[in-house]
Amino acid sequence: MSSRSNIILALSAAVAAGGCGDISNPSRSNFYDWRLVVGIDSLTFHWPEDHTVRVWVQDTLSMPANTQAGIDTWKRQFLYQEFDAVLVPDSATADVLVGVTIPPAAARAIRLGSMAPECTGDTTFPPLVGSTIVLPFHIRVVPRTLDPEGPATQACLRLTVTHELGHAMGLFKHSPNPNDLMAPDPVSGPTARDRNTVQQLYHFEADLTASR
Amino acid sequence: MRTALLLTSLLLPSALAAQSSSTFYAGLGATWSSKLVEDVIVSDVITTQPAIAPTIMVGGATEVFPRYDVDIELQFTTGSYSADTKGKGSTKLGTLRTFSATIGLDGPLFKPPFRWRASVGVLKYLPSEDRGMFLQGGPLKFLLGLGAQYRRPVSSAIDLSVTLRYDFHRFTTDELQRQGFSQTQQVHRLGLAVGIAMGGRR
Ligand SMILES: [Zn+2]
Repeated sequence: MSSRSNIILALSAAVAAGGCGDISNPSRSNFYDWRLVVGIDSLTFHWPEDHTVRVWVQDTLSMPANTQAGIDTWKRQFLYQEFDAVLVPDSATADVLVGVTIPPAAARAIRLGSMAPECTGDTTFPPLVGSTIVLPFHIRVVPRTLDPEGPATQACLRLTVTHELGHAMGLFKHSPNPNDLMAPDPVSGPTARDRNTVQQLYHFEADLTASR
Repeated sequence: MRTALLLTSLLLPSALAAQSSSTFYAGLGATWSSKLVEDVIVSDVITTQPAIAPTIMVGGATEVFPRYDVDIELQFTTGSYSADTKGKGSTKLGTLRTFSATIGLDGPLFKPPFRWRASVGVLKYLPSEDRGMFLQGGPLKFLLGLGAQYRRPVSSAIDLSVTLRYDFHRFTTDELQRQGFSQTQQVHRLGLAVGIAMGGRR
């Protein structure tokens, strides 16, 4: 056999030896229920893949930066750009509004004394007309310390707005696992379980649509 | 590393031209790649694959045995890549560039002016955005290649060259592994470039 044939044969063998099998995707079986219960129905909503969600945020207590960090956190959970969102300056055209309520100093002082967490938040589900969500979603965060610009409160606001954005993305139920970002009182995350859940949500057929 | 490779590509032709047994070639063309990942989420089957990508290649060879050359080849591709969900449509994920550097051995194929090439090297993925499967950057992969080249004189010093390249590597990324993907994906690429060749045997 010629040296040329030897080389070609050797290389072909090397290619063949490395050529078996394909990448294997994760099972994503570890997830929690996200559906909205209306009467006897459990309903799914997620933003369409071709829709960039418009988020308006009140410009106080570094909330634009915290909200952008929350959006970026959720975008990082996806492999195929299923979700996208941007901050917009006009609240009238936004899909999601993020507001800040600062309680009076006295109330904050009392809460601090009761060792309450640094902040709270909530998301108001918009009215449902038939199978249409009438936008916008309203997110509210509330700092509960005397130093709302301090690092502990800022970390709390960032985690809380990320959790609330999760609700506005369609994660309408809380995770039963306290480590998850979508736990009722989150302390960290997102976890692999949050990621599996939101990835599955965005490949599930939606029962609800959203419009203004 | 990129600066060193750029310097090599700039200096190689002149260094090789100093030796009569050396060849320099450059070409423009296109590269097709097989899928990078196939994923299943709920009932969606999602295939991520680069589009056919414009390609630049440069190479230099020097004779080591009678009729056999050792060469260095640099190749750059730039194109889009997308995620196609079976039965639903496609999402453009951005621009994906690749840079490869290979060292090869080439020799006569059938009869002149055809030549074969066998190579090993590295391939670096350079996504336009660290996002999705490239969240932690593009991987560097080991590459095996095969190829053929045809040369036809067009002037006293310059030949027209047609270069065909096939290469193989196994693909995964740090982010895919972090998200629980196991094994690696076999990726095949096929490129064709038309260009010029100078020096060496004609
Ligand atoms: Zn909640």
